Amino acid sequence: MDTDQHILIATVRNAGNGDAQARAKLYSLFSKAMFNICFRMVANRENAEDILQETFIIAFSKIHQLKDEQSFGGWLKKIAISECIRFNKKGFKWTELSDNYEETPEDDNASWLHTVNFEKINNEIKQLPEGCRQVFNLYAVEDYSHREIAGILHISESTSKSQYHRARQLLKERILKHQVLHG
Amino acid sequence: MDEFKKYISQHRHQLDMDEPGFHLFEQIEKRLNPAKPKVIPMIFKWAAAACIILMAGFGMYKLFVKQSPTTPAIVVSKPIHKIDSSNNLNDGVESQLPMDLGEPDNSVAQVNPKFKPADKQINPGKTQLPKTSSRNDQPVDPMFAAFSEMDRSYATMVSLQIEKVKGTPIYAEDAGYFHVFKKQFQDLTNDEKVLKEETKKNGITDDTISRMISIYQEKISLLKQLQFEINKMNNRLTTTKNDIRQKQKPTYINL
Repeated sequence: MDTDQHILIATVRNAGNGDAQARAKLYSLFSKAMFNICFRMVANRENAEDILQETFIIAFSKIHQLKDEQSFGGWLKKIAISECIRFNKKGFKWTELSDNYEETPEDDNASWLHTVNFEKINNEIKQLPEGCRQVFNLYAVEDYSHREIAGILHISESTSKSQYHRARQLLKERILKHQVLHG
Repeated sequence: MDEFKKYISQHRHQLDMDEPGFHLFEQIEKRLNPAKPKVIPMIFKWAAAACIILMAGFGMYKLFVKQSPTTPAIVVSKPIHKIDSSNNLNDGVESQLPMDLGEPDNSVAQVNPKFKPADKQINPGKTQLPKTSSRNDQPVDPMFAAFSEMDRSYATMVSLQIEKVKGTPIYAEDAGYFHVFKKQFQDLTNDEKVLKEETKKNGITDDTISRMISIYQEKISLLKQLQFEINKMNNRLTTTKNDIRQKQKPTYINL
């Protein structure tokens, strides 16, 4: 166990004891990552900040229940994703895609992505439709399995796969189109 | 894993290029630690209430409690009155000795030196009240008080009789016809003056009182006798000469 881990463990324990400085430390360590997850999931800055607040409030309120202080980051991410999904559920209905995107073409090496800057990719992810954006973020960015995604979003695995493929196709079309237009 | 997912996963940290607002943590802390209302210890509340009650009570005391007279009343010495000799006795204790009785006289009498007038404490604008227990009052001689009362009473009776005689018209004779009575009355008045002056000098004695009573009784008796004589003469004239009474103007005696 390295020093950073020891520091993290101590900080989480102190935060659990009500230490405001420990909470500030944890916020400074994880707020940027959590915010970007929320921003990509809800595609709106203000909403993302609100969700971030709720995430940390829930985390700090229940931090004394966390047994493994080292897993604070993963535990915090789960809270953030849960809050994002809960937010996105309002007024959203999953629709089954008619196209069959269950299988990924073997010859797609995504080489076209290597020439695209990540800012552009990040912006295009936020522009995706709500359903496939959630799946794409969970599957491609956060490395959730389709089974886990289906459980979280209360959808079928096939729906999760279809939504991911759609997202990938849309990203490719829009990024390549932008490259053609702007070079 | 498709290449697309693999590429994104490997470079996901490069996708984290946005940062939250700086105010978010303060808002988080505010929601975690809401501001507690200031708790004032009960003892301070009780102390404040006690101070307010004391101040209110003190203010009410000052406002409603009548202040006892702290300033001494103005002391006014009673002026020495000029005494009417015939029927009046005057001194400083006016409230206890009635004055101004009987026939007025021009002679000026002096205050009996043995009985100093009491310096009365009077408030300006207020009626002077007799004080019996004032430390400045000298005790009034009961004999002097009785003498003055007697003098007043007899003087009243004499004055009434005098007025009666003065108001009786005389038809038979003129007023000079009764000069004897007038002279006797004048002699008695002179005796009265002398006796009063003697009283002021030597004080009141039983003999003085007795002599004064005799003088007054002789005056009253004289006036009654004079009234009788006048009435008798008028009646005699009425029975014998009615027309004379009608024609002759009446005269009046002046005492």
